[in-house]
Amino acid sequence: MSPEPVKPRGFIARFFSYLLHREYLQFPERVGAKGLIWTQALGRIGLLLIESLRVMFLPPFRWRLYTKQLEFIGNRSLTVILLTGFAVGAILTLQLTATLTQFSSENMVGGIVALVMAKELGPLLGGLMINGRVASAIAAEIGAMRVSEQIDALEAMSVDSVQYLISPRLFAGALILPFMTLILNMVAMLASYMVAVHLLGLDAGMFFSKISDLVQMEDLFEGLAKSVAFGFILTFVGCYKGFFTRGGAQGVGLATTQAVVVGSVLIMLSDYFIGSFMLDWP
Amino acid sequence: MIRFEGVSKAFGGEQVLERVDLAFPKGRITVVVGRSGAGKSVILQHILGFLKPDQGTVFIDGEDSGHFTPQQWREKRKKFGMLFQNSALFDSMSVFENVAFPLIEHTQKSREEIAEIVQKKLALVGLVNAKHKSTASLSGGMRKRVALARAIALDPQVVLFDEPTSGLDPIVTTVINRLILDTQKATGCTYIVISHDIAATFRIAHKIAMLYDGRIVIDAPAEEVKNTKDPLVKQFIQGELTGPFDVFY
Repeated sequence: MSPEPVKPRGFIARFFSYLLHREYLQFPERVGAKGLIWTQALGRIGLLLIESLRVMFLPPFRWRLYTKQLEFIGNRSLTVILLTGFAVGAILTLQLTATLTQFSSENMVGGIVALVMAKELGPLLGGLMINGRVASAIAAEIGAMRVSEQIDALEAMSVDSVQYLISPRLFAGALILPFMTLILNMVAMLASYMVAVHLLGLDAGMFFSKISDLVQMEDLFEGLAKSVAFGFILTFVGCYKGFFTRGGAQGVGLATTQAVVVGSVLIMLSDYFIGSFMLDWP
Repeated sequence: MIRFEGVSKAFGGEQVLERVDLAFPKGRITVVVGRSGAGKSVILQHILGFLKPDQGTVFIDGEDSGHFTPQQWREKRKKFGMLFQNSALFDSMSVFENVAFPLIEHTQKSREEIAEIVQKKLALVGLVNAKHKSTASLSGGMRKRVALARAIALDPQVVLFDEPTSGLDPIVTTVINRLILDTQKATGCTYIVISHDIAATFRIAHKIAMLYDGRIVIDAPAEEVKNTKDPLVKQFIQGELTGPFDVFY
């Protein structure tokens, strides 16, 4: 058996090796292979998405699984949401007040913080924080079930694994994220009030009047609409990565990491697109 | 009755099953033996409808399973019980909940009725005292027994076993073999066992089929297989290194 060829180290050595061994001739083949893998993955994503939405509205309705997921995604994320909301509200108020004072506009701080939190930071930070905790946990749990044949066992017992494992998580994620975002926003505004009024000595009346001047109900609804989408995305990514886990413990670890990374990227991308779609230019 | 007729299956370029003809008689224990990776588990996956044959037909109760819709497969699978190689118990549930799971999913029975059935099934496998235990705290043998209780919870017509004694010590292996025999006798179900444990196979099998290179090389009553003159089967049964088998070590 011939020994394994030694791969050249360093960019320049690799470049010359690439030319010398005519590796560029394999380029179309590699692109084709990657294309096939991506197409296959897209097909799987589409089919899983359609199937999980379809079976969500078909009996049997396992309410216990839905409430369990609501509790897991919502209630158990409460601490992280409270801490995030408090920290962001306080930091944002402190930094903004310092900047706005230069323009003698420090009384605007309450309104600006409320607007930013309602439209952007509330849903985004809530989504990212819950993604970090929940998507990884979902991918790890379903991935471990996959590698230990528990999903095959469900199917062997005539239980639809998509309906049993995925639909309740998607539903719970999309339903509970807006509530978590509202809580995060409220805590952020409480922190903002404490810093602005009690720490920096701004006027409480101005603080509240600027909130009602700058923030409309539509702004709040825009944020909540985003959070529904984020809840759906983060649970779906976790479920998808877990459901198609391969390769034992290593595969579960990989699925867990990928779920968090892909979920975060998709949340930020969709934030931009939803935001630009809903943006109301003056 | 389950019957394979000319079933072929390949993965990538590798032919795993090649024109397999095999019947699993009703109310009997049929054991399919063969080396690791010979494609034995693929047979079970065809019976459960997880895989479709590239060629040939799998008949279930005389019906061509190739025409079953997903819904029909789900209905058929209710008549099957399956014991997985690694037991595949739900680790988020207790022993009791694992055994009760198929009853909760597929019957309208009351809590009391389900509790009574679970008690009976656990008694059958000798695990009544462990019903409130978490599955994580069970030994390998206990896990197999819980998996067996779960597999027979719905009183299925057919029970499938994927390597029921692999990774178990000889005494627990004997316990599992005894349980397979006793539960089959008590229920009268068709048992289909996949194994490479020859000693265990001869203890439980009414009929043995051997898979080699994707083909069935022998399909006969256990006694006949024991006394076979076929050099391939003989070598496998006796575990010898020399013979027609390709052995790499």
